[in-house]
Amino acid sequence: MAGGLTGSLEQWPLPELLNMLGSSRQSGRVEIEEGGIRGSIYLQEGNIVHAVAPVENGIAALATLFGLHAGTFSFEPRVPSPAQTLSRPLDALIAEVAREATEREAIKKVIASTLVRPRLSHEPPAQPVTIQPNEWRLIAAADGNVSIAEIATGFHVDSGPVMRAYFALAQRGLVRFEAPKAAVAPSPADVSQGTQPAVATPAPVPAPVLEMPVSATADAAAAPAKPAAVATPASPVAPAPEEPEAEDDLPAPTPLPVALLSEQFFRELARAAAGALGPLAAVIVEDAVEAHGATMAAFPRSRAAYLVESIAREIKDDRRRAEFQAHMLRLLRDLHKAA
Amino acid sequence: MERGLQEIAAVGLVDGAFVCNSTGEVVASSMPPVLATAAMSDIGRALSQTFGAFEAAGAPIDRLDLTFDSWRLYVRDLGQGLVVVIAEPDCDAACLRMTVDIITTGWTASGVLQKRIGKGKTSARMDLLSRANLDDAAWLSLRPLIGQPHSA
Repeated sequence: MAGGLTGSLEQWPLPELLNMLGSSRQSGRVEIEEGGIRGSIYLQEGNIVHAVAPVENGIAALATLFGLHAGTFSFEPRVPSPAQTLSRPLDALIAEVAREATEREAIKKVIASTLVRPRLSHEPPAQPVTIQPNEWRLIAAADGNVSIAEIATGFHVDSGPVMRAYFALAQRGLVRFEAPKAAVAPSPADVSQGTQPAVATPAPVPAPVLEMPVSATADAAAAPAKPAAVATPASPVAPAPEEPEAEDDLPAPTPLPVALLSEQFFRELARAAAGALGPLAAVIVEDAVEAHGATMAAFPRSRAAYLVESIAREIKDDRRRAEFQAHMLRLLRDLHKAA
Repeated sequence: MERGLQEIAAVGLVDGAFVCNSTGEVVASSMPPVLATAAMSDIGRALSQTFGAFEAAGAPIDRLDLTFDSWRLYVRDLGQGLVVVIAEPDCDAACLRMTVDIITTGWTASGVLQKRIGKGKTSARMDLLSRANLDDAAWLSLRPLIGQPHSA
């Protein structure tokens, strides 16, 4: 195997490919790509030494890549690994990956979405429990009012680890989860003509995790549409749902035909989000759609940029976020042209 | 930086944009300039004071969106300066915010921001909040926020 090797994961599943490369003691890099998710696995003398996925490395990255079954791979021999995050034999790694996948499934059964709101359990735990310092901060934030996504934003971390930590707390009987707040329909103020007075209004409400450090560069643009002047705190904020305008004494308006986003757009959005956010992207996109009071089957095209913006807020890495925004802005421009 | 400002100005219903340093001095502007340099500088200075006041009050902000009858002002903090966008009130705000994010992230990554306006924050913005730099009305309205003793 002097040159490279390329193929389809459908025909050559990743565990089999790695077994083959391992048994022939190959060194080099396997690159995997499926629907915008890209990753690499590095081998040295047949052993897996490092794995990288969009937002993870090590065993978590390997678990993400093992979950891809329809993409393509290419193996380039003799590419040195930039790091060593894995050191166990392939069999042990496969077993670990299976455990990781099982855990992700178990979490999904308890925490269906990042929009659920953790709350301290009313019942004391059946047995004594030990709480780690980092868990204590999550318990303090679990007041039943803010969602996991908002708490993660407050801590400037991805939703994944926070979800996992709350799952562990729930397993010990310390927290339970309230259903997501009812979504509010998009406000007509979003498309209103600007006739508002230029009066400064209070900034959006900060997330209730008060001990968090304030960062001047935090990107947390909640965008309430109604105020004439909106100041966005540099400190973390909970995205504010938009209030519908009161329409007392007005006859029910005749519904106008609304242009909706296509399935193709959501496929592109999911692909771009997966590239920036990793395996939780699908959940985050679903949550964002729900938070706009809509569904993917009926999402107004006029709200597309707001949807993209709210998903972009979940991407903590500046460069990744900018890449995601740039890609989606190109799509949005195409969408406007087509309209 | 000028090319980035042109990209911002290319967003629908955006009239133009400029970058100023902490004291309001105009560092770069889209072409043709959206306003006279003196006007941009006055706006930049007033906005710098506003950002400074929020910071002094313990509630720092990184963006400001002001909508008037016939125009809209969107401002993004750059640390030692601000990027100020002047647009129509009904411009696509989400597209504008994302475009500004992309451009300013590029400026930070390429070092152009540091080269043109410096890195981090200086006390220049806070200096703008001193009594000597505020007129009576501004001083009276900002004094409770910035927590300075009442003085003539």
